[in-house]
Amino acid sequence: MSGAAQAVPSDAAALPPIVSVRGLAKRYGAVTALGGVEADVAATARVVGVLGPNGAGKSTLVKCLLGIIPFDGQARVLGLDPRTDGPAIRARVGYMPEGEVTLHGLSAVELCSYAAELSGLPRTEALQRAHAALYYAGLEDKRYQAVEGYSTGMKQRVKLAAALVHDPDLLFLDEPTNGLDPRARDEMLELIAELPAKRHCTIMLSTHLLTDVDRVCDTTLIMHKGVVRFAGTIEELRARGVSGDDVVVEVKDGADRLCDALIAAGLAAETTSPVGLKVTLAGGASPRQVLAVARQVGVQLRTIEPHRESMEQAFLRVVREEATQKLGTLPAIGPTGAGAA
Amino acid sequence: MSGGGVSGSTGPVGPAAPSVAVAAGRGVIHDIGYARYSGERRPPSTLWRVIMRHHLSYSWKTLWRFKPWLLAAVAITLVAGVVMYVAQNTLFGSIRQGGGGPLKFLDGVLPFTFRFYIMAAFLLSMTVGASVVARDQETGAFTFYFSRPVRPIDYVIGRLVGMTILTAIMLTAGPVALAVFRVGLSHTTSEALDHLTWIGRALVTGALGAVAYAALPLAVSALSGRRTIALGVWAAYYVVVSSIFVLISTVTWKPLAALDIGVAVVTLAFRLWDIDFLGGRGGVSVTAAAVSLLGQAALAAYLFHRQIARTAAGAVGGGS
Repeated sequence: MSGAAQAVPSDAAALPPIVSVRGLAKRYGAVTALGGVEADVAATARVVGVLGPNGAGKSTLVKCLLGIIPFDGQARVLGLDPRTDGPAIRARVGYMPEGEVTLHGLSAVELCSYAAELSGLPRTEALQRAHAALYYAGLEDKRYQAVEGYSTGMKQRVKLAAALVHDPDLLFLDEPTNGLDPRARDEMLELIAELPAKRHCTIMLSTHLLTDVDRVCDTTLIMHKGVVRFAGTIEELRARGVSGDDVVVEVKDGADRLCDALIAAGLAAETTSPVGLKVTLAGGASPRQVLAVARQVGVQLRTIEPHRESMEQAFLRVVREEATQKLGTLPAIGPTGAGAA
Repeated sequence: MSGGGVSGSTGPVGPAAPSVAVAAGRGVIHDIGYARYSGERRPPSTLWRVIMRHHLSYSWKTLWRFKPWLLAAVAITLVAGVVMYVAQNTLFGSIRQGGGGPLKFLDGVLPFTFRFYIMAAFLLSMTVGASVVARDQETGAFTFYFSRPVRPIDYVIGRLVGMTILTAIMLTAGPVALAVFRVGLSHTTSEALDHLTWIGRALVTGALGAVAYAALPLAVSALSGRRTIALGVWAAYYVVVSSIFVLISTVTWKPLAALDIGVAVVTLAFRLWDIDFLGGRGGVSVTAAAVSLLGQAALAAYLFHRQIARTAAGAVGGGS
């Protein structure tokens, strides 16, 4: 864990983590929901993707961090202990739930104003900020309509506005793009991406949609079966599963022909599509060698670039590594110097 | 370290290194004049007031939650006032006051009005009390409340106080107005002074009734979880189960009738005004009625809080 600080810029290194968790465990009877979570979210983090399959413990972790349920271990959120300072933490944290949240008969502005008041803001301030938050979320024209009559996209926007109306330092977003059409999803992600800079808050984004994480998150925390399987930047996540020798080659046509020629030239290659190959440049080989072989066999190259794992591939790799790791054969997962097994 | 033995820290990324790759704004992001809030924040212990205020405004908002029953209470008060004024010396026939002389309309109408006020209170409990918490559960409002600094006790107190205020308007405002009117109709100063105690009696009767008529439906609403079930259970309890208590009391132990909160309120009124018109409810004393109303309200408040505390723990998260 301590290694994480090495990656922090010197001015930010002095700041305590916005969330710090040590051995956080939660059991429901015989079921272990969280088996000793260890994680830090730096004060400088912008959007942290919290990933994990169903039952990974994401929701339980949020409940613990908000001080809603008791737990074992240590946790600090915004410097406060969730076990004793739950209400104080929730006053400074915004939470956008996955499910539908409406209060019967309330318009969007009433809902947001009420949300702000419940987060401790004075009445007049709450109303002003409700208007501002709805304006920010792009609902200025519809703010006097009852939320129950809103479309799914508008309801998501209202939930976002209600979550940030009280100026939280930390924002938990649970599946914010759930049920949205591509355009609305695009707009929601745009709002989320803008939030850290515009509202000066850190976002913890829980989602199943890895493309969303890829698009807006700078760091990610992958949970599986109640423990953190990976914590680090997106680049680190991808880098861990990739050999630096691998390149991806795209050709106009004749991928099979080039593949055979590369193998004959002593390189490890495999076709990934009719126009794509993955080539391992082991033993001092360089991309120029691929270029030369392609010229020899008359195949036109379109691109040649280092291999990068997709988010899906990286996520699945992290989740799959568990079985191997249990046998003690897998190296530690996590950012450089952190997360030692 | 535990579980799979992996722990980690989200790599702290400085502001200069985001991997955000979104398009520029397309007219959906507006943040004109935004300034971070840095003022005082209300302490969590006062949040019940916000919830209470919301409860009152929610009840007032539409035509059918509170307003019809308020109009009914006003109508009851006006009619009773007119009867008291017009027929002040008319006798109630065989009904006597304090074992003494026959009861005049002037002195007997007020306690009788509680029979009607409790109807308005019951209808209010159906349109607001028994439905409001269940509706909150149905619409996901608990997530809204408990992901904020609101504690279960704040929610419970806010709802209870809000509902008690509404019910007290039904059960207290009219009787107190009639009591004041009765004082005003006195022919002598000493008569007026004698009748000043009516204001206190009206307040006590109405307040005790209001607490019970507020807490019980809220508890039923919380325990039922669904609005339709809550309405059905509360109506069945009020109409059927309470009648069974009264029926059983006639053949077993008379004070048992006080478990019917309507009977308890009316009995309390008749006892406090010393009117001998209790019939089968004659075994219910002031103490039995008061204990029943307060006891049921306390039990209901406890169950209400217990249920909300349980629900609050599961209100946040889930789904994924």
